Amino acid sequence: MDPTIDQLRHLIADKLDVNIGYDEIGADVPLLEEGLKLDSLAFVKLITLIEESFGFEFAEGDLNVEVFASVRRLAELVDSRAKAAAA
Amino acid sequence: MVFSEIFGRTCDGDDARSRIITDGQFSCSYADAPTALKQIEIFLTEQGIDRDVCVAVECINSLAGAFLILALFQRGNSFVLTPSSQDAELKPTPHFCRHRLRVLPAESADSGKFSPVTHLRSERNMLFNGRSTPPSKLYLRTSGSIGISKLVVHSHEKLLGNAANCISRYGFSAASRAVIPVPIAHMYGLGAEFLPAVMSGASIDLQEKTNLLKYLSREKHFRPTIVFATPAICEMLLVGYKTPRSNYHVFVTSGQRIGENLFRNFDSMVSGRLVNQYGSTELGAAAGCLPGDALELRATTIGAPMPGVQLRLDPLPAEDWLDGETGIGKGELCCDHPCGFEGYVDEDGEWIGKAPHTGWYRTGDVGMTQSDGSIVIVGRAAAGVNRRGYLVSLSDIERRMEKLPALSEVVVVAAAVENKQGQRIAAFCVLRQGSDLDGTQVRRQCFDLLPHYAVPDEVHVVTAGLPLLPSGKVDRRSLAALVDG
Repeated sequence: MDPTIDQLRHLIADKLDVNIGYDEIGADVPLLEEGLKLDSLAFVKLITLIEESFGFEFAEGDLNVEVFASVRRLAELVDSRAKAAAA
Repeated sequence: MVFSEIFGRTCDGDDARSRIITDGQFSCSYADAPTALKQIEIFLTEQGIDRDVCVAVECINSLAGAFLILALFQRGNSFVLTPSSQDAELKPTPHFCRHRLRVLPAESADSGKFSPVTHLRSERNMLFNGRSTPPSKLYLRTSGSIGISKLVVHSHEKLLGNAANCISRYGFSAASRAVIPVPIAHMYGLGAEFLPAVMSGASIDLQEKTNLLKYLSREKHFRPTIVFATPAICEMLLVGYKTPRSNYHVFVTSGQRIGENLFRNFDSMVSGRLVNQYGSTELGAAAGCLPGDALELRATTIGAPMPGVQLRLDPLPAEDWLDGETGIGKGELCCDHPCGFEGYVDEDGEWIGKAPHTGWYRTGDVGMTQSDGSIVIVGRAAAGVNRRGYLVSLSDIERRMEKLPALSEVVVVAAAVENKQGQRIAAFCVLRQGSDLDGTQVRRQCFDLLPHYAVPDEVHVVTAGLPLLPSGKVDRRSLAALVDG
């Protein structure tokens, strides 16, 4: 299991207060409608939590449906952004 | 001005093809709008919904929903408007509505030509009480404190007057591009943005249950110049906006509950175009700042009253003063609005309390005047009392009791002291001429009107009239002093 995917699943399950269990968050399940259905408030909190936990800021172009189509896709972006920020 | 005249004008003109209303899935130009409205009118007639029938509409921010509202305005049908009941608490259709109309969300697979009627459903209301209602009214829900919701009554004509105020204050025009991320089934979305936009012929982007990704994506394509949002939306965009936006002529947020820090931070992300608007379901838009106003004013005050609107601060009773206060410069914000509501009705269509409402409306907000005359909201008036764990508003109890045929006037006050059960409350009543009841009998009638926790502990019939202050208002303090704590 990719550590970033794992960490993101934990963020959603433990830090978001949306009553979704770790096991319910499949790596390929969409985060918004059609999948986990995170509401607007939870979603915004997730963005902030990710930025704080991984030490980078999302670029405006990152905030689109493709990136958040699944935890796996999101993890790919998070990995590349975090690496660039640490460099 | 009549709605059909105003709307007819916006649908004419060479540019009517290029000005559109969209919901992200379907779009319709103003040039094609009359056709869509005609289709809805035919549908309504086929369903047996004539102009004099009152309907209950459950609406979402979709093109079909928008056109349904406009069709009802055009016909002069009275209607109750609520957001879709899908995830909200299910409330039964008001009994004075003969039909229930629902606007369904489009399937994501839907494409092709927009046909509004395919997204509408009509049913007869099995609990219709046969009541005939006056034409051209709009009914909006507001929650009462005693657990029984009430419906705010507006006339279509005054709603358009309210909208005209917003047009002049915020500069809506045919060149405007308005994004609406708040429900058009509530007074704010409907009265402050949707109607003004339609009356101006502005392009409109309707968003149902927006989220950050949806908003950002639509913003890129639609390039809005006006938006009416909420503090929650401002917070959301503060996280998503990585660069300041310069496309907004005005970015309106409702309510004074937006924290000053959030206001200042977000204002810089919309190039200084953030303004506060003050209003309510009863009043519509009452006051608001302009983008040109100084940041200090925009961040803390409610702004200038809308055209024709008067505001004043009524003195609070001394028991509401904090330590060290003199009560000067602070009071309950009251509003006299030429285009405000007519009154409240219940689920049966009966007036609650005195109707029609005239004159000054008590907002329940406490305000303070600044040295330049501008008003800052500092809190809510202490009209709520704890009754066995329920928060009850004394004026709600008064309004209910005013319905009793035997009473001509009633004042409800609370004892200053709170015990384990909450606060003791007492009602002081003036009987109508020819009525002959005592306090116990009136109190017994209250059990049919109010939840048990809201029934006053004591009811007194006052024969010599209620004590008055020099201002002519009832001296509630002296009445409260009579209540055993």
